[in-house]
Amino acid sequence: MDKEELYHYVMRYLNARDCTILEQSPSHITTRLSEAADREIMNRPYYWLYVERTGIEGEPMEITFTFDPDKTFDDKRRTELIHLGSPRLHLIFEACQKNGRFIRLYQESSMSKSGALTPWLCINYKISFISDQKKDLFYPLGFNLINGEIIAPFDKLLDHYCLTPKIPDYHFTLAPIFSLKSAVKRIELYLSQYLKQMDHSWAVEARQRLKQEAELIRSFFENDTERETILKRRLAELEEYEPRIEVAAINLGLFYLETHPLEKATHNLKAERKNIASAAGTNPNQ
Amino acid sequence: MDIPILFKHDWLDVMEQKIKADGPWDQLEFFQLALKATKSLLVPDFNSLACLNHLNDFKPYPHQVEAALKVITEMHGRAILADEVGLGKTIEAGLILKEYMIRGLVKKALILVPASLVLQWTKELNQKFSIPAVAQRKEYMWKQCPILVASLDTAKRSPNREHVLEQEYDLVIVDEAHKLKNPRSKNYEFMLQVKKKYFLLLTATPIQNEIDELFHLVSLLRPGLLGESGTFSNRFVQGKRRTKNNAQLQALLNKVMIRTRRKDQGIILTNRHVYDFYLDLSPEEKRLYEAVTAFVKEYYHEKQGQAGGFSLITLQKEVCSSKEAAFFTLYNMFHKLPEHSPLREKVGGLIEIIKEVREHTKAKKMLELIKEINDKVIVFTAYRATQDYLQHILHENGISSVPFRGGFGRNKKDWMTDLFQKKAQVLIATEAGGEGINLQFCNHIINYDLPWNPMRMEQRIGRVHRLGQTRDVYIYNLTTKGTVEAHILQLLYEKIDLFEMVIGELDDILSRLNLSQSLEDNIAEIIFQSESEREMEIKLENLSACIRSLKDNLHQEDHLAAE
Repeated sequence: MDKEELYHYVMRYLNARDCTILEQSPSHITTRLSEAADREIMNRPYYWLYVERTGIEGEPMEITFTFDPDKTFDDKRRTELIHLGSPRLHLIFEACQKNGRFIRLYQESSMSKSGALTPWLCINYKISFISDQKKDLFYPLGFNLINGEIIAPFDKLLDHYCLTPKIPDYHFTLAPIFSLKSAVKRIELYLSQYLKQMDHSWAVEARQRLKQEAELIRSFFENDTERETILKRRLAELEEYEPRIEVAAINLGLFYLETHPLEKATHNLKAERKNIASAAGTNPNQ
Repeated sequence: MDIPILFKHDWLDVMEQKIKADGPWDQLEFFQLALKATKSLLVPDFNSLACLNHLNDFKPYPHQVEAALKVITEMHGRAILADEVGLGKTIEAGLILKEYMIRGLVKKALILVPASLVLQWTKELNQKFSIPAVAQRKEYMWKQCPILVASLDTAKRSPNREHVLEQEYDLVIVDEAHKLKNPRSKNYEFMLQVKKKYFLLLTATPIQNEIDELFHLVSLLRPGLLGESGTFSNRFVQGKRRTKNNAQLQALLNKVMIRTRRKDQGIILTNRHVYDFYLDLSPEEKRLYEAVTAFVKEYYHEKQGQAGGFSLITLQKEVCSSKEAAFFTLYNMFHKLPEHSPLREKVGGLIEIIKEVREHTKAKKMLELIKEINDKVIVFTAYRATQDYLQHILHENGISSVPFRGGFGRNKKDWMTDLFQKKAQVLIATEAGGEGINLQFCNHIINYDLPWNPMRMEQRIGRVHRLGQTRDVYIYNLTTKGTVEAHILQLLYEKIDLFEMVIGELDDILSRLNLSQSLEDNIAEIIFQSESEREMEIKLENLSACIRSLKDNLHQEDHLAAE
């Protein structure tokens, strides 16, 4: 995230937490935090414990986040620079990660006729390839709980919908055919196959290296029976470098959708083209 | 190829529960923010340093970035960082730690450094890298603190030892790792036992005496890389200080050691120019100095260095700095001592003498220098009272100045630095205020008084004379003839070429001095326990010779390692 993105991120968090924005410029935000935000990101559990114990009214902090290191203020306000490495930002990240794990939403519909909503399970995966080094892959996946269809990547498709936490009038949800557990089984089978056909040279190299290292270590301790425990420890340390893939879910959503995601996307795309065309004064069908 | 795939299911039960109970569900906004956060922290490739995006106000040098990357990608997290002093091994280690933390490869780390550097390391990791490192103070911390900084000597002693051995560290860093050269030592044995995935050894001098030392260091890190001890000797050793098959040895060492040299990097520090001033005390000042010195000497043995709860050593130093500094101590002493005690009377007498002193010889010289320099100047003093006095006298002479000391919070420090850079001509700093700020825009230092501990002097100089200083640095030492301070300048600092040393070198030398007490205490002992001036001079000269020879040794080894 660059400076601007960080700014919007923090602003979105503050708004989502109902904090009062007292002052803002492109390079700073001064805010009176809400109690919830203060508890989440200000790291002062003892203060809030004290507030609870004594029953007094808690006073959330007033703080200025700056996004430009050169930004200074003449008054003595409490300021903090936000950059990608700043601890406060990471507390905000953690708060969001903790509070944004599970959602359930319905496709909005203005139609007054009845319609069936299909349940889709969306899992945003983080796939990590680990040896002594590590790299990650973001893998958002959608699973149709009625027919087992899998769509990946799924996250962008969701952008085409208007989603609402309440089921729209005249609509009903289809009962899932797949239980959560059997869905997960299917998904993981799919993922395993997907991962197997990837390039594994990194893992081959890592194993080769580990084998050589283990040989060196064994030869070093060969005539040294006294230090068997040290040999074993060093070999055990090596095991931590064994290549492996870890698949974790960042967050999950249960989405009830009336239109199929791919159809919705094409539909939106067409509409968009039409808009552009009509704005340009031409008819795409001609 | 079959790679184990581990699916994490920590969310499954929760989701099932939520579906069953129909909630409670999170908000879409947080769902999206969570996704954005996690995505921004993902690292999509193996061979990059994501940590560079997480640093804010400091930029590592290219050779530091290169070293960190090499350790992670080619050395797989086990390496000796052996850059020459002053090139920033700490920064390299910090980059590596940070990178591993961002990638989630290191959650628990132990950083073992000399006791004198524990706080400095902790501070640097926090300030430069936003790494929440903590200095070890309590026993529970071994287990509870994910990133802990401690001294090797503390860690290896029971009950700490047992705690450390219970932990499984993802990364262990040992600074001043030449302490691990002897495979039969407690240090070495202890480090063999500690469980660790990644392991960094930092030393400016991987070889101190014998080639074998390097063998032992490497074998601690990656046993077998250089063969076992017999084959190593046969293949590579030709006498204690000489090697053979150098190309092969070098190739092996390159797998585990990074040694950047200043000259390879084209990193040239600017020159230093040192001016010592031995000033003549005014008759009143001289009287005060002699009276205080006599008083200190008289009571030093009797009171074991303390009188009325005050350190006599401090008093002796203060009287070299300014009458103000000495006055406060004497004044407080006077009020703490019981009435009618002979000591109190004496102290009262000294205070009377202070009142006679009208002039400040050093201050006059300082004003003269500052006017002559006509540029930014940092004036260092060890004492608050002197600092206040100097600020006052500068103000009287129409010279703008800002104070700076350790007690200031981070913000105030930054503010003062800013004021100094933009508005004031002079920054008056006490020692403790020196650390953690960049003052490279200034290249003149006046030492208004001289610390007895050469490390402190080095730290003062290090504030301005470091990588990034583009101009020559000028150092002015103010001292008065016939005082203890003058002796220290003449017989210690100049004899060991303190002012010519590269920052970091002295630390390296002193850690090899193996003193049973601090260098400062040693110097105090010499000064107060010598029967005559001549004895003191000889003892100081001996100490200097000792440091000097260690220094020459180090330089020789450097050549050896370079071959």
